[in-house]
Amino acid sequence: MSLPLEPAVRDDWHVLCRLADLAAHVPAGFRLLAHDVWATRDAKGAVSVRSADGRALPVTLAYGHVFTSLGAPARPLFAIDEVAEPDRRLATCGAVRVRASGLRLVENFLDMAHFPFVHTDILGVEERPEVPRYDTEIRWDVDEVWATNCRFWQPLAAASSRGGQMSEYRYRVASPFNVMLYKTAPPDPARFDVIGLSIRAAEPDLSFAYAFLLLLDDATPATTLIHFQQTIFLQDRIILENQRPRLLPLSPKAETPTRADMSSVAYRRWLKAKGVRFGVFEAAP
Amino acid sequence: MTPSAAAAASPWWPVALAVDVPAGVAVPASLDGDDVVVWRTAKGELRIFADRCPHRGMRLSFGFVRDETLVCLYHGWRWRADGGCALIPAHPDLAPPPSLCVPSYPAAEADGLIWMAATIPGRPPPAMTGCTPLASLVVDRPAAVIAAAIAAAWGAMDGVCARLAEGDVVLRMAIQPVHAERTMLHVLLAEGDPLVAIGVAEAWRDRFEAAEPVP
Amino acid sequence: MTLVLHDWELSADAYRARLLLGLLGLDYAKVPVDVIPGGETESPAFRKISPSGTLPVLVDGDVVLSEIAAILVHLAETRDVACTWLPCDRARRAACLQWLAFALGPLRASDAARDTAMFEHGGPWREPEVMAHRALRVLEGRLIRQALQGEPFLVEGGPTLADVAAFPAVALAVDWGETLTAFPKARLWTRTVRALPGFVTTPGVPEFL
Ligand code: FES
Ligand SMILES: [Fe+2]
Repeated sequence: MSLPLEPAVRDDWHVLCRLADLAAHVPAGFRLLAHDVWATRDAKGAVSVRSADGRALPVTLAYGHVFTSLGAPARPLFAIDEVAEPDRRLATCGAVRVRASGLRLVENFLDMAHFPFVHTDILGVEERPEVPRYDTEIRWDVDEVWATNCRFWQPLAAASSRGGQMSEYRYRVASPFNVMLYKTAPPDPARFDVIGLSIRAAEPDLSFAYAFLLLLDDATPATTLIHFQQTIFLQDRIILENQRPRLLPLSPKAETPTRADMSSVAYRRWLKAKGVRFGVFEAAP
Repeated sequence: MTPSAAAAASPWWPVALAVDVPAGVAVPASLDGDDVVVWRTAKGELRIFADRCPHRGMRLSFGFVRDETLVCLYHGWRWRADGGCALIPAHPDLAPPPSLCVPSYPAAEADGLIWMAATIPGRPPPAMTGCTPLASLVVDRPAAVIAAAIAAAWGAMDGVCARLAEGDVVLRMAIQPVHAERTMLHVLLAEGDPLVAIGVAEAWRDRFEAAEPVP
Repeated sequence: MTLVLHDWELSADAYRARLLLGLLGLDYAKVPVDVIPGGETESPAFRKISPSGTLPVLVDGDVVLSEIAAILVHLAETRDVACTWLPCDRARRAACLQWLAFALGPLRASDAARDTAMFEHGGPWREPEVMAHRALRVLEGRLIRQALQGEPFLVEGGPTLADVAAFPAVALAVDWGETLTAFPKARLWTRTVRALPGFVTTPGVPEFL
């Protein structure tokens, strides 16, 4: 029997599926936070989501996905202002199933130090593994975690890259299971591509990762962009499935961070302060 | 004999055939549910570490050997044969603190088998003198069931080791409890033709899998 | 040389073999196998001739085949003098292999659906992880024997299509949680394949191989 969900998770927005994956009038079942929920789309495109006990749940459609909540969200779904820019393209990458805590997935997304080893010759090279100092902050006013001034040398930063670049990143954890990054756009280094990763935490140790792209690149075929992202994520998946424990430990002594892990340290501290328990490793008493 | 009774008789447990862990290679193994990585440096030194990187918990058996270190796949931290951390690539100028190390286990190689122990044992692992290592076979049954089946068919086990003669073939086996439902049989050939012997060993494996649970 | 077919009337694969034997006008001896309800394909005696427990099994002198693709190709190559069933012409042969693979790949879902519809618990079908583990054991057994004879690949004399076809299933097994701990020779074999000139990797193939 599962514990009642903590408010920080229950009252948050969670991705359920891609909008395009809901066929009209065919209810589809999903596992979310160890609960069963059902989503239906009517002929006009309106989506309704119900819990197993028949409650109508809140719905927000955004970034090609359906978001819902098991509780009562105190604020709207995170906003990504770039979505309104006319030259942005949205691409959705579909769901990948991972046997790991969704919190581990978010932490991996925030991590630059693994680029040379896990995404060798794409997002990093073994010869240049250094992670220069960057800034992290917990922005309590908006209840988000940010990592800024991140720089990393990348041989093939995006599907449209022609050569290596010193990429600039900004990471934003908008809620415990929703994270995004703003990254130098190869076609226009003054602006940023946005890559979002929203996790449906099905069980504490079972997650579905939904990635979406808001890119300035208008030349590369969408399928190429999606395949690039899927390749990257499958490389991460082998890590995520094999971290032990599968749940994320929040105790500072459980694992060994260094300066490159400042964003992960801030994320864990913030999760702890918010009282997040779903997907958290609790050491046996 | 149950595995724990066998442990009292021999503090050493077999985890692999020596030929299956060549120099410069890391392989995973489990003993009673504890995951370890069995690896050799490029020069061939044998080590057994806990299969968990102290940094962010990645299984070290997914890593690779570079020279005399085991490199974690996730962030490339390098672990020396003594368990200490040699390099943190994200901070190339930082000397890793001496306190930073991976837990390791006593390891020994004898007569073609690799053995591990929980604490440093007072004696060497069991001898299998004159035997040729054949293969490691998986059996999806608890070690206690297999130990009971062996005892019934071949006579009492000697610690974790057993001996069997069938036709022209004489086999030795060492058993490794992997987890509650799985055991590895490490099979060595004492006498006979290897291709015939492997068939004999596989037939015994099938019989062990069909064996009744120990009440 | 008399042909022997270990057969089950209700098996679609066994029917494939009987059909070709008939079309080729060949005489053969039938050994009936009690698959349901007897579960004879699980017996040690049957596993001797069919390591994965697949049916039918064709015995042709020293040649014992338990994979339907191998049975069909073998019969065509040894008994079909007119080259009707496995054409020699390159283009026709390529098309024939394409449709053969299709029939024994995607189209086999129909056999599975039929088994599910016909038998309680889906007949001889099992969960994919169980079937995969069983197949990996068979592969390990083959590689153990090859290693004892100093052969690193599935077929003696060097790498073949057999290695190419088997490698992705083994190397990507990590994606469903099978880390090959129980299959040390298969692990070594993946390293050997990986060392071949021209080897290419794909996301999911672990670095340790
Ligand atoms: S988890 Fe091993 S180096 Fe980071
Ligand atoms: Fe990554």
